[in-house]
Amino acid sequence: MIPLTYYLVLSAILFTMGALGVLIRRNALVIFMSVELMLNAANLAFVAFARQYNAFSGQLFVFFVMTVAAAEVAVGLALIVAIFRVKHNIDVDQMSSLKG
Amino acid sequence: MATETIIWFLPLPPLLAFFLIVLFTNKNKALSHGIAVGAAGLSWLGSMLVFVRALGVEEFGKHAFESVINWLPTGETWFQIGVRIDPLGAAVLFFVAWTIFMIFIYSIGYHNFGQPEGDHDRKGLPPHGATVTDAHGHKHTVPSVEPMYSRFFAFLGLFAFGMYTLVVSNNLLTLFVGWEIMGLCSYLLIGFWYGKPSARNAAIKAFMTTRIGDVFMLLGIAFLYSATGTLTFSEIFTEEMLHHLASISTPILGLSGAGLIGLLLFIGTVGKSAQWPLHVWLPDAMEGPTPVSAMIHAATMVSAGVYAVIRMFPLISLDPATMSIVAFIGAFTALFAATIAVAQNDIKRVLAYSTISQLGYMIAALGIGAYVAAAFHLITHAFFKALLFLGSGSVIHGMEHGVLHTGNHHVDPQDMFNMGGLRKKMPITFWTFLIGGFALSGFPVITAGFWSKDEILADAFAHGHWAVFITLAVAAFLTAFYTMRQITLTFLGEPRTEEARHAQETPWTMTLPLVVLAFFAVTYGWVGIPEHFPLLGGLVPNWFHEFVGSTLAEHPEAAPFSIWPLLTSLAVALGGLFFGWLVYRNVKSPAEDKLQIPVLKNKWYFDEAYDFLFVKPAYWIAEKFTYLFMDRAVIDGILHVVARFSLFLGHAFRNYFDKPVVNELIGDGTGNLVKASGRGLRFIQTGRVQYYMVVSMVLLVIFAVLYYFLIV
Amino acid sequence: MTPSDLLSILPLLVLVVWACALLLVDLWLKRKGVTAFLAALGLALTAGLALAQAGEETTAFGGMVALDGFASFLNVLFPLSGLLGIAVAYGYLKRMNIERGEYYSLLLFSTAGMMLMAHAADLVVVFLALEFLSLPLYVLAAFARPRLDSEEAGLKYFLLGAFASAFVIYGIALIYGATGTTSLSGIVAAIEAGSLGTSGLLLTIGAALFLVGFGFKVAAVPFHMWTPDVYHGAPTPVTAFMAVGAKAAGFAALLRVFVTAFPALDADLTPVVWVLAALTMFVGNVVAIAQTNIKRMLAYSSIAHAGYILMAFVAFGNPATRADAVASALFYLVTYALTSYGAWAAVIALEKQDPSAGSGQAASGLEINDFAGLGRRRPALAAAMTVFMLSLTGMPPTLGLVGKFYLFRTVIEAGQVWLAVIGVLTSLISAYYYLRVVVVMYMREGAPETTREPWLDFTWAVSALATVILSFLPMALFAWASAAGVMGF
Repeated sequence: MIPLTYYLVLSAILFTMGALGVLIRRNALVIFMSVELMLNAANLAFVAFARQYNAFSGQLFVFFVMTVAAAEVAVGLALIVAIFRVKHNIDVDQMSSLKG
Repeated sequence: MATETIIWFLPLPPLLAFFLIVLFTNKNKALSHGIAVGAAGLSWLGSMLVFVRALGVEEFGKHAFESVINWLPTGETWFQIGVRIDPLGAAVLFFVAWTIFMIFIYSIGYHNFGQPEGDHDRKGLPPHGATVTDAHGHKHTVPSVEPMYSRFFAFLGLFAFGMYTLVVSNNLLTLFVGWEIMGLCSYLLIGFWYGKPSARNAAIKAFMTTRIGDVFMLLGIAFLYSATGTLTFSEIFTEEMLHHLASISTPILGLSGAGLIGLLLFIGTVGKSAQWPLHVWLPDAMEGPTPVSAMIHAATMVSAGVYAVIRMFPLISLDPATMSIVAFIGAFTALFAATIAVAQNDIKRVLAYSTISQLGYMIAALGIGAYVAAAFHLITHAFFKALLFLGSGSVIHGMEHGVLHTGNHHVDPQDMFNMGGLRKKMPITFWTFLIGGFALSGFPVITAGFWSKDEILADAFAHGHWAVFITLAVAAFLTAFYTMRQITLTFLGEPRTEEARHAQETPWTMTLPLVVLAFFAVTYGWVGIPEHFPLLGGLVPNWFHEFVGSTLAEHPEAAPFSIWPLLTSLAVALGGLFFGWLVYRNVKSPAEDKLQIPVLKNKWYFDEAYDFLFVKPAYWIAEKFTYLFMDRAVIDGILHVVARFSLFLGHAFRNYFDKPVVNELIGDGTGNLVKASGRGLRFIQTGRVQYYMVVSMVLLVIFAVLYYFLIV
Repeated sequence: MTPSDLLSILPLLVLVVWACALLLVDLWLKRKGVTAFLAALGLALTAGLALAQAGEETTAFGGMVALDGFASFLNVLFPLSGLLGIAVAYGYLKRMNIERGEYYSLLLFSTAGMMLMAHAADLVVVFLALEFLSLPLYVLAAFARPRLDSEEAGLKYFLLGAFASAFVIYGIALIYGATGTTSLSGIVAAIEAGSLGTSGLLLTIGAALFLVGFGFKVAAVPFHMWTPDVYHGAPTPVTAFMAVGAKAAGFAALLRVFVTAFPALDADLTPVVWVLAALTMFVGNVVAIAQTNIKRMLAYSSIAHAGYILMAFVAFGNPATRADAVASALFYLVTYALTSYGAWAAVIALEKQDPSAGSGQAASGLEINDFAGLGRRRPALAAAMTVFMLSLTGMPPTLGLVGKFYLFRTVIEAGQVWLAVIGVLTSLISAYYYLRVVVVMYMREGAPETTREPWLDFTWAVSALATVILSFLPMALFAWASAAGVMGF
């Protein structure tokens, strides 16, 4: 059996990759995907812990997270579409009219 | 509604009126006075309700209306504030509500509501009159409406809030808050016509002089709080607490703690109620509009000073030394101010000195322990003195009408020697003024002033305070004398000037309050007729003594009846009135007045003395000593030496430390530093969202590393 | 799930059902005034029901939801803040040509999320509530589309929000891993059992990640930088609602979780919270000085106030002062909510659509200098604004003073004297920029164009009056906050 630590390390790597993606990529869509990656890192951790504790609660939690992620995507995509209509561009670096 | 709830709400309507007028209705005169009078009426209604309910309570002294709330948590306990109406409070509330309400109504007429705007009236100056053309094409000059009409009502509202707060307070803190609000309003209203330099000076003088008293009062409050841990009356006036206070010894004058606190609080009253030696502001305060003089400087604010002493009586009476001081100052003021009043020619100034003198009466009464008599005189005086002031305002108003008619602006409408014969022109004003004047003189049996003054004299006589008795009797004689002088000069005989011939009765908004107050100036005395008075005693129970006396833990004994003080007060009142009439019935001008003695005319030179003793030295110290000697010679001398040295040091620092280190690293001083860092940090805000995240994450990592090394 | 479970969250249920119904009903309503009215009615009903629940103490849904003093206090506060959010928005939306019915449903949904947050006794519920309240807010921030600044604000808020949520959920995952449970009482039990071993580190990291996530939500420095941009770009009524509601909900979660579940992490986390609070107060107040736009200034001011509330947390592990800390934080939240709504209402009264600019442009009338001459033009509004500025500074006679007084006292009693000193010093700094508004209003000549709308005027007038009056009579509110300071389980 694969030890818990492996899962946790993988989850941490996924989370970090997601976070770096959010920080570095300029395309709003890609940033979304990176956020999803971070959420899924959490999901992985949940499932791994649930297995270790032999409890269902952690796995149930994953469903909640997935639902929430879906809702988030819906709102996020709507926002991006709205902005694309005005700017014809979804580069987040271009969105810096509010500053100071 | 529960009575306590009503009491809580009593001060609020005038405060609300103040805000409404200042914020919203400033431009609309009718709405402004509507709101103000409505608010005063609401408070009046509430007060009457409370008063009537108080009458219905058995043994009200023991079951006073009281309600407290936890206000501020102080560690484990709460600092409580609350309201309390006990017999004394109810009696005071009664006259406060009536006088305030009446004066609000009076102000409408006094400020010429409904008249046209003046031709060249300016804000900050009294209205000068407006020219109107009637149907026949004739031009008339008529009184013009006050330019800052709404503002006046706003201030009155704020003032009424202060007074009600003071009366319903169950503790010294909120009492003091009300006290100070009134001080502020007094300042604002005396200087209401701020365009006149005399009004400005009077306002400042009033504010500064009363402030002297207030500082001492605040000291007293602070001392009391540190000694007892409470400022609530009912908690202070318990036997143990009073005993504890009386047993503290202080280094000042050998007074006990209670005595010193009492004295400090009393000095607050000396300022507020214009007692010698802090009396100088009150006559000058007559610069304000007459309703202000009536309300603040006769009926309410100066009475509040006496009320505070009456309230604190259980504390003050613990120390005989303090009581002697109180009695001395009261009696001395009563006599001293009466002598000045005799020689004044300005109709309002006579009343101002009369007020000082009468307040001295009450203070003297307290000083000899005549608790109920002092409260009684406080209330009757508030009624008849408010009446007299309003009456004098009505007279002035009538005279101004005459002045506008003749167009001779050199005639002073306040100088009594310009009047005469007004009884025919202004009958309502005359009769009400006569009632007020007789009440003030103590005209026997009918008037309220007789009963209250008689009670004070009887008390002084019964307890063997001869000095006080004689002083007050002489003062009473003078009072009757100058009152009759005033009435004779103003109303009797024939008009001495063209203006007086054309004087006119004032509108109903002014005469109605006169009539109402005249009613109380007569009848209020009947509630306090001593039981053993010949013929009348016992016909009506001595309700006032029973009621107000029950405020104290020990019900005070009514003074045993004696014929001598009664005869004395009859003699001085009637004698004074008679001589006043006799001397002045034929006097035509100040030159014929035998009593225009310089020392009295000049108010015993107190203003000059204070100028010489305090004001001039203060200037001298400021100018000669502090500025020329201390500042220029000593301090500058030292500074020059220091400066040269520091200049040298400064150069050294500047060249070798500042320029390279401070300027480049830190900037110019903290203010700039803060601003600069504000601006600097602002540029971090690039508007790029990922940049924000990166900054956050980098800082997070730095924190984590620091945390790891510093703490774990 | 039993009827009593449902009964315990009845106000919340009513609000959610009402919001769903409103979303449908709105389709047939021509006049959006009716929608606004219905939404307000729903919120008022909710607030009434929540008020009726006061004093009840129970848990429901297998311990996932708690009904206690804390929850019922906030469950009154949130609908009321929603009500004000409608009051300030109604005229504004019309004026800015963005009158759409969804505004009201979204606001109701977000309020429901906040209320769920107040109930949360389980980390899962915390997370769900967080998303429930945030998602509608993302949309609301971008509500003035196609105005680009609003859309930009929405997107920024969304990106940061999603990023923060990921931290929260990862933190929760680690806490779950350390303790085997997500219920707050379960976490306490696991910590007290002392069988954590190496998982103790996991727990601390989890709690730290949780703190980072909520640091973003409540805009604590250094996670604050989105705030001014989003507050600036979002339609002003939404900004007001975010500044009050979302912030309060974030603090509700932090209070609940830290005070009930993590007292054991006291030694590890107190220095962290200390630094966060100090930095937040300092940066918020200092940067606010340099602002010329009133919305940005108020945004930084809201950051600074988050710092003050964070001060209350520093003592979260000290059992002696815990109840006081929660009470004073709640009291301060109410103070801030009242004052800040008033200030935002004043801003809305001055804001107007810039006719010269295109559709993508921002509104005008939002510079601090635009307030010049307000003292003459609208004396009542200027007086109210003065009250708000004084209250935000913490000067008498306003509620702000009372709130700061309680807060500082709690902090000092908890032994954090230096933090209190920083708090006092930074509020001195804040006087500079708050009073500048007052100076501009009264001492500079100008002719500001203002809007008179009954509900807007109502909002600032009531807020100003309440701010002053409550400062003299704070005891009822404080007593209620104290009752809410003792959490139910």
